[in-house]
Amino acid sequence: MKNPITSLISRAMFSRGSGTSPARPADQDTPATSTPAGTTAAAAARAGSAPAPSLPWAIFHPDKIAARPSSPVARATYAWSGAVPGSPTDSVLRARPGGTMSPTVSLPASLAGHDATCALVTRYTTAVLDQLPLPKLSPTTCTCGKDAIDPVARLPLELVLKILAHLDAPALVRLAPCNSVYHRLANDHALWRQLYRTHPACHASKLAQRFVDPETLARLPIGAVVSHGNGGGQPSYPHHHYQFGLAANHHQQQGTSAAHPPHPFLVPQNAQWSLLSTSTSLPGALLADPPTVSAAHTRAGTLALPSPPSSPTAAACAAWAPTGTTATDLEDVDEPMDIDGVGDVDEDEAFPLQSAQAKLDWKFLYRNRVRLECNWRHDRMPMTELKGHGDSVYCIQFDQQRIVSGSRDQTIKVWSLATGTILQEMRGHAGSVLCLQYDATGLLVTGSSDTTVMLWDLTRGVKLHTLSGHTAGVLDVAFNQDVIVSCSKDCTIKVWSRPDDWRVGPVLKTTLLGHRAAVNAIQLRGNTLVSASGDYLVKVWDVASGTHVRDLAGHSRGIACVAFDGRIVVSGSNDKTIRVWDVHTGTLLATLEGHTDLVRTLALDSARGIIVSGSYDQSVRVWHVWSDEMDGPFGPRRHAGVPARRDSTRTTQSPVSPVPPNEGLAVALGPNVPGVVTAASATGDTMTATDQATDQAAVTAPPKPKVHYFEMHNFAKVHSSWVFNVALSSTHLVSASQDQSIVVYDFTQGVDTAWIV
Amino acid sequence: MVKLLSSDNEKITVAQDVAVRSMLIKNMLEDIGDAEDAEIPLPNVTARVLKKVIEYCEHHKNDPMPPAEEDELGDERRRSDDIDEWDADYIDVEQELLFEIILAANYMDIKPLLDLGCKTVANMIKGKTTEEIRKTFNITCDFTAEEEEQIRRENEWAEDR
Repeated sequence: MKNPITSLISRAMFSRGSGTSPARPADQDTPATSTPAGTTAAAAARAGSAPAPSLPWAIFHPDKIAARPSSPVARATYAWSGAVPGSPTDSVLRARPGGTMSPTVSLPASLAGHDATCALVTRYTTAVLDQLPLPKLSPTTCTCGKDAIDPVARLPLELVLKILAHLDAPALVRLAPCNSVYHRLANDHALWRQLYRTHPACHASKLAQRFVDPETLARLPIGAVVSHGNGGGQPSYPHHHYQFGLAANHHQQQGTSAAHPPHPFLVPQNAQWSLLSTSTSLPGALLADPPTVSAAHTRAGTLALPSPPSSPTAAACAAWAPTGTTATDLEDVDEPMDIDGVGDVDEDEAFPLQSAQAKLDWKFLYRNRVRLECNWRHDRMPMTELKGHGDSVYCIQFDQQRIVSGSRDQTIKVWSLATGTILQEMRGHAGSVLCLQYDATGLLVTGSSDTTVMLWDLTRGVKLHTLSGHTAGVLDVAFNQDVIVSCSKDCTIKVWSRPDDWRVGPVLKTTLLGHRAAVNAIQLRGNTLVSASGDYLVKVWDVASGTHVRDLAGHSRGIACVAFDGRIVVSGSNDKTIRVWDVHTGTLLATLEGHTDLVRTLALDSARGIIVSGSYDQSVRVWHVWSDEMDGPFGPRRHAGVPARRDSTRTTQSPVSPVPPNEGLAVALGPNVPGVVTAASATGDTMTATDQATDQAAVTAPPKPKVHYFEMHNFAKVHSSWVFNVALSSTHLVSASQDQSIVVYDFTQGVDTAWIV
Repeated sequence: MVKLLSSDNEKITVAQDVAVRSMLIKNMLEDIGDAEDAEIPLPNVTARVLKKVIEYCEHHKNDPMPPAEEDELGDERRRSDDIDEWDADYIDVEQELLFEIILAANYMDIKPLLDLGCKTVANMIKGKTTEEIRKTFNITCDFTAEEEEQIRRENEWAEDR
């Protein structure tokens, strides 16, 4: 009579056993029950004159080894290693304290430094380790720790990877040089993909979000599978091998990648890229006994252990094979095969990049991102000064190719970002060009002190239309697919239709009234418009309906600039502070202090927690802003530094500075605005009171996400006069000043910008 | 009560709510229904380790069950600094037993215990130099000095903070 449990167990045992520890069954304590790895290695070794391709592959310069298949040294060593099981060498190794852990000392000295040594030794070590009844090793035989045990010797690799998944990048790279096995493990793509996706500097990137739009995808250098000469000596992935068994099944390894040299950033689809991923289904043929093994997995998944957790073990087993499989290997692999038997949906199947027949090298991507972040953190960026405008530069915008600038000299110039040369110059305004915005379609909208808004075809450099209506200088413009919005010193905001056909001019749709002073800046995301005015208020509008949504009140002086990403509003004021708001609730999230004069311009990258500000104190400052929670308004902290979260209560206020005689900005209220307290009449005391009241109101408001900040950089000497505009991307910063210069800060040193998406 | 049979043939009886912390046992109990005298053999776990594992399950028997399905390498950053005091005390054992516990937790499918074990080993790696890691785990280096130096150079960037 058969016990049902026993039968269940035995099935579970079988499937689990093969899945959990293919190389070393968990409870193996007799060398007689040789492991598959041990068997194959030993069998291959015993063959002695094994054909060259079945030689273990070197970690380094595999080509060299392949090129010398019959090297006497290699052959001799190989034969020698065949004597492992039960040989005198073996006994010696076991008997000598610490000997089992350093078989390298027994190698002929002539082998030292030979390329093959490392691989052969690894193989030998592995064979030895696999044969040894490790649990019986007395701790006293170890010269190192009291009971130090190599996890790789005791645990199946997928459990070792589970351990490694708890490590950060510095720990992984310190583990890598331990030996070739750890080197390979520490380079596991799934580990680095996880690190990439969770690294604060990367997690907001499109790659981390697993979404790459077709446009970006087309831009990625994926198709370019080019030879890179394995630069920098970095081992390319297809040559990377575990030295564990199964190699005997891979006689075809030679010539791997010869026809298709690996791109350094891409792991060819045919190559196994992670022990933890089964997206490249490796066939049962790679395992000792294909039908049995795949049947075992099926059972593991469907019969004995219906619960999902069995899949990782099976997956690891499936991924056990060496990485460099040739096309011939893979011909019978292409059959989609659910080798882990549980219908595990690999997220990478959904990853659009897969269609490009490529796997990403996440370690490279991670390093690329971290390097970029380090450049930001450590000020590692060359600056280029663009000279060409004959007067103050009021406005700039840039993309990966060009910078567009507007100046008091009434011109619009297009510069090459790479070379700094002027590509194009446009004239038309009869006054200073105070503001501009362009988009990918090539529509450029400019506003001028001549009270007009002009529309240009940036690609051809020609003017399309002139919009008249404002009665004073146009201080800012913004547009989306449907509307063009302009704001003016005349206190109004005008919303114009954006025609599909440029032969038809835009029509004025509505005028937003409400501000009681000049509207200095606007930002538009979707249909939400935020406007900043000299009346101390930021107003939020819905442009589709033309309605006013709310006011963001708190600044104690006129507001010069505003940045907005759809959720976060950042405003800079003549009160020298920068305030951060939640547009949906109107909550004041933070007040950034540091500037010693009017904050004239702002740029925001909330995904990276970066705010850049330019001021009349002539400095450009980079602020790091972060939240306590990962999903807070700015995400978690990314940059090291002393947090400078200051008390929002200010006890002192510097004397009111004179109103800057700047035509481009009307922060200080003109006398033409009745009924508003002018900036000059505000005293320090009243300002402090206002601030306290506001901050307290914010504190008592419903749960306020904790937002912290510190000033990462203060570029105080870059400009010699007022800073009028800053623009920001993940790789560059550009600032424009009254000193007539445009300065480009390039943070891409050592970074492959193609992958910064 | 559930009767467990260790690999060294020791019979250990545990309360059902303790035993079912092991998904392996839980699934088996569900599969066989109410077989009173059934003995569950655990041929991969010795009595010594099994008792240690049961100690963990006893302490955690009232914890909420972990989600059955979990992304192996999800986007959640794997932390290792969130081990509570009892757990830290519990897992403070020599490496031999630590690895046995990890293997048993994996075999018996007790995810929180497996995580605890993995975190503990990870913490033994963290903050150490390569040489210290080798010493801690008695890892044999199979690289030549040049190769090791090359790998160190390749990875220098990660130390750039």
